[in-house]
Amino acid sequence: MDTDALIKVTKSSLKETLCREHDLLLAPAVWKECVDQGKAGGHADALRIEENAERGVLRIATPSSPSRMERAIETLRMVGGEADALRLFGGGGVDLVVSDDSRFLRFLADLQVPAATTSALLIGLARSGRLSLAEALAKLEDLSPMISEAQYREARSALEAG
Amino acid sequence: MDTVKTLRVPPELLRAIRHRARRERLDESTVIRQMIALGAREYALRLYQDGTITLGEAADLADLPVREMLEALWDRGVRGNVTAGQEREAIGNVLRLAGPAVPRRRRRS
Repeated sequence: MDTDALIKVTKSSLKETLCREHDLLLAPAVWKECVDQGKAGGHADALRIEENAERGVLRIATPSSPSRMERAIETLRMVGGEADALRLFGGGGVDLVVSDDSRFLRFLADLQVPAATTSALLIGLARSGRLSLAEALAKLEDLSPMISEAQYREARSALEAG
Repeated sequence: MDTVKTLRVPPELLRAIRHRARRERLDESTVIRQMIALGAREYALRLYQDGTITLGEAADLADLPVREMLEALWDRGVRGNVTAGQEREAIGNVLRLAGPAVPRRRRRS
């Protein structure tokens, strides 16, 4: 999961449900951007993420070095949390990279890396019966101030279509 | 290290610089630096909104931590930049992993 996705699922309280169903891995640069920078800026969500990691709800995973993604990272001049999230995927054992960043999603698609958005994860939870339709719609409303109109509309219509 | 640049300032921009310098009791050089920084932030916001650059690149251009860049985007009403096509593809990826649908249940009481 990259930085913006982690902050969004934390602020919308979707993280707790996600962590019960999935193993959420954070790369060290994502941790730095969310927790270290968040605490320095006085953002409460940084403390919630730190607490989750202390309780073992989220896991910080060090990317294998050198990752098979290293060449792509260098060519695309990716840095920070985005580069580290891709390194983590390159290390193997990761099903999806989660991001709500259009440019990063395009990079992932070009590299044929399976990707998800925060709202797509929500649809997965509803489809697998972990959330009822009403619960999923309520969570989507919580996410809505932080996602694009197009993302919201597509997610809502997928939820309603079942 | 700072770089010294010489630039021509058109009169209409100079008016704004002097206005701010007077109003905030700053020297004109400081105001020019602040205004260039404001412009850089605006430029980064616009490129991110268009999906031309990543959040990390936007933060780098605006000289802000990634966390603060995200707040700056929300403050300016930029809610995100994922397109409908990207969302559909993401939903497809998640559903392929999730397997067959489970019948819907009622809301927990």
